[in-house]
Amino acid sequence: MNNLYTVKKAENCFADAKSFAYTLHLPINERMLNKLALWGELTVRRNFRRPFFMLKIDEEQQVKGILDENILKAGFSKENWEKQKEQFEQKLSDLLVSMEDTNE
Amino acid sequence: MNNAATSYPKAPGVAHGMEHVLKQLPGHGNRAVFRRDEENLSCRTLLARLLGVADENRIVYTSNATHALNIGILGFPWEPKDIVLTTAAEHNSVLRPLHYLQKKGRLHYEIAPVEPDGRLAPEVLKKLLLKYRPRMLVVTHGSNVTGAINDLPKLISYAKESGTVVFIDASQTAGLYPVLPEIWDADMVALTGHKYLLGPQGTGALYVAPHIELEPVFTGGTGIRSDEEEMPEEMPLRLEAGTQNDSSLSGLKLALAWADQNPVNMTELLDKIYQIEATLTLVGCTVIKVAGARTPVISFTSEKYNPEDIGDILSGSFDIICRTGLHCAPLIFPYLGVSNAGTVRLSLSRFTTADEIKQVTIALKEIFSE
Repeated sequence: MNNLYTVKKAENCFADAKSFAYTLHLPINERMLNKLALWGELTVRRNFRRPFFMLKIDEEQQVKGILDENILKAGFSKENWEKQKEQFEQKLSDLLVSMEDTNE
Repeated sequence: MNNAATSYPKAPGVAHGMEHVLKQLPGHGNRAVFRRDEENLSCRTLLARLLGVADENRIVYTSNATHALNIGILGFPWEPKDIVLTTAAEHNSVLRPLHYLQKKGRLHYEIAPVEPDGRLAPEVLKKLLLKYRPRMLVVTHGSNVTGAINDLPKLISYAKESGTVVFIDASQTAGLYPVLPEIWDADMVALTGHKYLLGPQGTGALYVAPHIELEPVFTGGTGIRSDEEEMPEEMPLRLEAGTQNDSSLSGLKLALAWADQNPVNMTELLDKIYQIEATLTLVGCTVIKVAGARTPVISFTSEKYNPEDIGDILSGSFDIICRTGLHCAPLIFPYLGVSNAGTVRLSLSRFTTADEIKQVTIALKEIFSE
């Protein structure tokens, strides 16, 4: 836990799920989305009542959320999830700090 | 759209009635003869009426169906080498107590395969009864994944021909379809109050036929025979240690009374399921098809998104709450032709409106439009 986000395991009914919900200290805006897009393949469904985005980092890691909301849900692989989670959290912290630095 | 898990809203009057009970002096179950324990007795009477049970003392209050199933399975007088037959459609509330007892060496259980809609075929049961000669059959009345209703009168009659004790899980059907253990000759029935009975969470019941004697799983205060070390023989107290959840039982009582006056229109309810099914088919989803009697439940998958993503989109983008994954019934999916990612399940209530169905239809079309 830090002052940039809080994280908790996303409980669900899937086999071997390694999903975590990150509540960010600021909402996910277009600028943050552009930065996230650099991490992988981003899909944004703007036709939904509340636009939904999904970021495929690689075959094992996926991030998703709702635009202008504060929650990111990240899924990691069954075998390597701890290392992936650690790396993801470092990247996420760097991204959030960079958002603050530019005062947006 | 998650009523197969917990119904919402509750029957009219339930919340107000529970608040009223909480504001009254608490009852003194079996401990104060000059006070009437009317709330609990009335609920038990209505449960007995719902199940067509002659003696309401055979109805045991429980916290939910899981609690009831545990009391029935863990408390049953098992003998060495007993075999239990259950089905691939069962919920973990059946599978885990059986697994626990198998691990302890108290019994061995076998899983009966189900049809692609989740039903146990009577002919399959007949063969397995001959093969295993089980002491008990534990079977759900309706699948919580597909909604398919089992032909219980026929299944029970086959089991009885083999001298097998029958334990029914009516979690998904009580409040929608008749559940009649004494007419069908079922030995035990577990049900919950918080699904289609439209009562509060924390309520449920176990019917135990007069010839079945269970050992208490929980022991403690009963308000009678306090000088004895053992739990009293009298039912239902033998299986009801501790203070009851009076406020929730009063809520369940009110829900049962309301439903008695307002029978559910299954044709109208299932028409809504068929509307959703038509939309899902139109947008290219794979629906778990169910012919014949069913609950207002529909399960589907898509090649475009996995079930978890669909659930997240429905809730996050459209405020539609559903259930995704294995639905606590992990063994059923191979029989449905579905991977271990499970399904998306939409489950309606008698209060689901035409407008809500329209909103679901719009959302599904938008999600699967590209």
